[in-house]
Amino acid sequence: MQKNLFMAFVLFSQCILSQERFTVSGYITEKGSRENLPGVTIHQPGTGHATTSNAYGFYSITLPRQDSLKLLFSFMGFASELKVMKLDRNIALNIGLKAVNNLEEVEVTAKRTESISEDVQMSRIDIPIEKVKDIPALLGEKDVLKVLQLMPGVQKGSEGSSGFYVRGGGPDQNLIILDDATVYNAFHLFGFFSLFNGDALKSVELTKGGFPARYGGRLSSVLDMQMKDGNKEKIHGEAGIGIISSRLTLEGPIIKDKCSFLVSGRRTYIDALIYPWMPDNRKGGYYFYDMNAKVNYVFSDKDRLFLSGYFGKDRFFANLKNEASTSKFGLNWGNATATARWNHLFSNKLFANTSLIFTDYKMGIMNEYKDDQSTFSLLYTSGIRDYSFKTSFDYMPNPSHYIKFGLQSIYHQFRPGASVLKSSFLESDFKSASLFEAFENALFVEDDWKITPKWRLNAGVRLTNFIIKKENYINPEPRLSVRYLIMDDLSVKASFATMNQYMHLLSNTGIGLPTDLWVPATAKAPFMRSQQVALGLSKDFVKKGFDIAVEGYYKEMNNVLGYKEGASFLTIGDNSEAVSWENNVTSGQGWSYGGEVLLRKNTGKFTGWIGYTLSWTELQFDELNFGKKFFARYDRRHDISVVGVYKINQNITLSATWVYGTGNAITLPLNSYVANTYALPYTFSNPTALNQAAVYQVQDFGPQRNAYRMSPYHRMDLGVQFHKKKKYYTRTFELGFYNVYNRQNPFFYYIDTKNGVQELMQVSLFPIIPSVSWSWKF
Amino acid sequence: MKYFMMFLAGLFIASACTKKADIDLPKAENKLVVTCFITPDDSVISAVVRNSTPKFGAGSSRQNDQSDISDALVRLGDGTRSITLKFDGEGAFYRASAAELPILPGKTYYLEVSTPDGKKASASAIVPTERFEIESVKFPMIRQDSTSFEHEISIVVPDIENETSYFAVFFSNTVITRQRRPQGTPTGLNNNTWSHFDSDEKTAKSKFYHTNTNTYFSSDTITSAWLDVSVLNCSRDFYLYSKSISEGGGVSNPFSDPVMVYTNISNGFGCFGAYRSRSVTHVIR
Repeated sequence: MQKNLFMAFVLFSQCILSQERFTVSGYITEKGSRENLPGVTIHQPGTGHATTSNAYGFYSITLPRQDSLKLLFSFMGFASELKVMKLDRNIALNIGLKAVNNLEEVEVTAKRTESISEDVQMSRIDIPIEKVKDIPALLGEKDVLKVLQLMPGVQKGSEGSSGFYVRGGGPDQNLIILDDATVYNAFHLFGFFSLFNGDALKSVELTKGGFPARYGGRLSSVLDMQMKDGNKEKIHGEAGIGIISSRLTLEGPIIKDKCSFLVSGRRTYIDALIYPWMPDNRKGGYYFYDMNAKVNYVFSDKDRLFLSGYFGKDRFFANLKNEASTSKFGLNWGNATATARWNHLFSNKLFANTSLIFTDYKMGIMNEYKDDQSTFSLLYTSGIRDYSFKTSFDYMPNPSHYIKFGLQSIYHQFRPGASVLKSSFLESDFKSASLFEAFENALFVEDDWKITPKWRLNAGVRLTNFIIKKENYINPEPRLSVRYLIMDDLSVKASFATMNQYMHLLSNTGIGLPTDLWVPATAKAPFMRSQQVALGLSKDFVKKGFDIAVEGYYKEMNNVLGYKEGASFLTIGDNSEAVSWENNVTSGQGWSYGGEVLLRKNTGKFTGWIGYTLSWTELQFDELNFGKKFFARYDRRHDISVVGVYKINQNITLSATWVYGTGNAITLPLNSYVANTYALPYTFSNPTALNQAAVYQVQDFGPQRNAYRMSPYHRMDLGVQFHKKKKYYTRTFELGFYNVYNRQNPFFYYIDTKNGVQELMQVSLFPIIPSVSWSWKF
Repeated sequence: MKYFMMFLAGLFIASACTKKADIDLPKAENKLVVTCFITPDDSVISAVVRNSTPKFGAGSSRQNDQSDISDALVRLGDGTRSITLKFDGEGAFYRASAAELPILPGKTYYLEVSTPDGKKASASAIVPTERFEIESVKFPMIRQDSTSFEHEISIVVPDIENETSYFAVFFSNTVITRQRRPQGTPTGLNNNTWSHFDSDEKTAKSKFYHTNTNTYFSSDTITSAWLDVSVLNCSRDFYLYSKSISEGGGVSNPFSDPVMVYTNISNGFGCFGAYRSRSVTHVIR
């Protein structure tokens, strides 16, 4: 018996030793532009061995020696490539994939990309940039964030706004990253448009739950966007003219196959058009512009460098003049980001990216007045600036494990308010400023582990640290996502994630106004924490090009910040005592739970999706609503989005969207009365004394805060695009209709008196709005 | 900043469409507003009854309906017997002598109000049990001259162990002034302020310290001034109601969330509260 066991052991050992393993690795790019392609599936047909390319297009797969290894490279929107090779050594293999038109019928020979049922990650949405361009938009301005709002679990704040709420979390709980740099205020034009110019973007990915350990810093979502690297083979461009703005993007090689650039800019011009027609004594206007730029250099297959940046600004101004005085008013805000990234291959299994990141958000308000006797000027500024270092490693030891680990360190400078007041009535200028400095650090490790063909998990931990003044917080954040494949195209998934957020956004409106203030977590306004569990089912209908995901989630949020009743950002903005925000806010708890369904059709002439969300979001603060739970303003019981894009032929594309949402929760006054409160009696022994006195007229706001609902929101948008291919370029003309059936959706309510009777009135912002735009691609 | 936001709001109203709102709201109706604060430390029990008016709809034009109601039936009971508070036409409130129904610490009292038009409102209140004393009151003067003064107030109240206690501090600042030239008759002015704090039930025997700055300025000469300080150990309902009113409750501002006004009156508004009171008078000059 012992002899047999020994023989079996020897045979087994020899078998293991003879299974020499070799690695195939390289970069995957788009044929023509040489743009790196993230998320490409590399799959050995007939086996469960597979991996995907990382954010920089790098892949690595280690397999046993074999005479004829077949590897299939596949990616949505690209023709698959099958490579056959003899695997008897490590192989460096760079692959170029050819983009295919949706209209071309591509034979489905295998799964063309990692399907949603295979993926261990749940609660994630990828938005193809081309899709953003097809979907009709307000005033023809294509907007990535507004397309995200059409996805289940993501809700818009108010009419026309780009701000978004993910699974009951406020806008401050979304981490928005552009090329590794955090963007603190992602909005132009008081929230109606986002900063992100679709022409400059390569990928957009939103994670709502089941967060991998590499992400952290916010409670509710991570929106990770990558800018295009720039075409490495030839000069290419896109230009567009719309009602609001014009845009231009240029990209091309600086040194062919080595170095390329991308420059993209937008500017509005309504101010330039109307300025000459305004009277000399009343001039004013508004504009925004933004610019994206990127340069990358390939030193070798082992080293690549990327330099990218964003700069944008909004400016609102008014100059008033009369015989006696002149006055000027200005409001401006803007973001600037800069990222330097270095990709280095330590080996064919170990990829590293190291980034130095700068981000800055600044808002300023200026007011000047001058007459014969006096002068007055006020400059108020606020902002936040970060300097960060981040390094992350991708280690792919074998097809069963994909390990990511790294660290990040951010030095924050919060400037919640600085004022300079000059006046002829003051002996000297008044200056006040505040600066909070903080360090936010994180270490993370995660492993995407294919345990068996059916079981797969992504387990990780993120250790976070926040240092401000003498406070030093250290918190571990465990993360876990599990997938079980019931059938080849049907899986059940579950996830758990703990997130900590060490900064707060003070905002009354939630629509992304530039006046919103970022402030650090302090002892009075402690850091926020969320714990989220999600359970889901994913099913692919590969041959029909459909997939469906159903998810349920439950999220608890602690130390959520809210303004105290009666407090507002105006109080804070007008108060030079910058720290007063701490006295105007209060901490509470939040709960969000619900279910989401997303049915998508990704291929063929007709593409689109239907999204449905059923959700509840409740809050509880000791100091609000007398300590009782109440529904959040953005609690939305039902939210439906239907999106369809139909490419009739090469020249015409039709598109339509329809959205429906339960009305936002609001607080309304229903009654008014004269209130009495305690008053000192003249004397306690006086038998006629009344120990109360009328104070003033008060309003009753119902049984609790946010007890009532605005009217439901629904709207349909239509668009038609006419494409024409010319010798050197393709021109697209688009005609769009926003709110095609002219639904008067509520923006806000107010009380008006008509014929002596008070009525509750509804204000709607956008009726049916037609738009035209032209774009050229060359 | 404020003007800018108002300008933006104005711009929206001017450019947007408005129409009558069509949302589901409770029926617009007027309700009874009842206020009654009882204490073992007073010899009179009093209550005020008024009407509210709907904020919008047909009834919103009848602002006069908010005046005092004189024909209500106001009954106060302790669960075993009850008394009727009679309307005092001169004082425009309902009153009864505390001798008719003694207000006792720890006891629950029930208030019921009904009007001839069929409206009914009710509430209950528990009188705080513990007798408490103000441990100390201090008035350090920060600055004073013949026309102004500014001082701080510090109050220490012993905590009641193992329970959350609700305190309200009521300051009544009385100042008598006289015009310098020509010399006029003295005129009086009252300046009342509220302040609130509650204790932590987890902390036994802790003491509470409150500070406030009280300032008075006048173009006239101050001839005399004094400060009445009352510390009230309140029932929770009375505390929440008083706090919400003193913090500007019921006033809406388009740029902030409204301060909700607390009520414990079922089918109505206002408050039926109970308290123990201790008072100190401090002569400033």
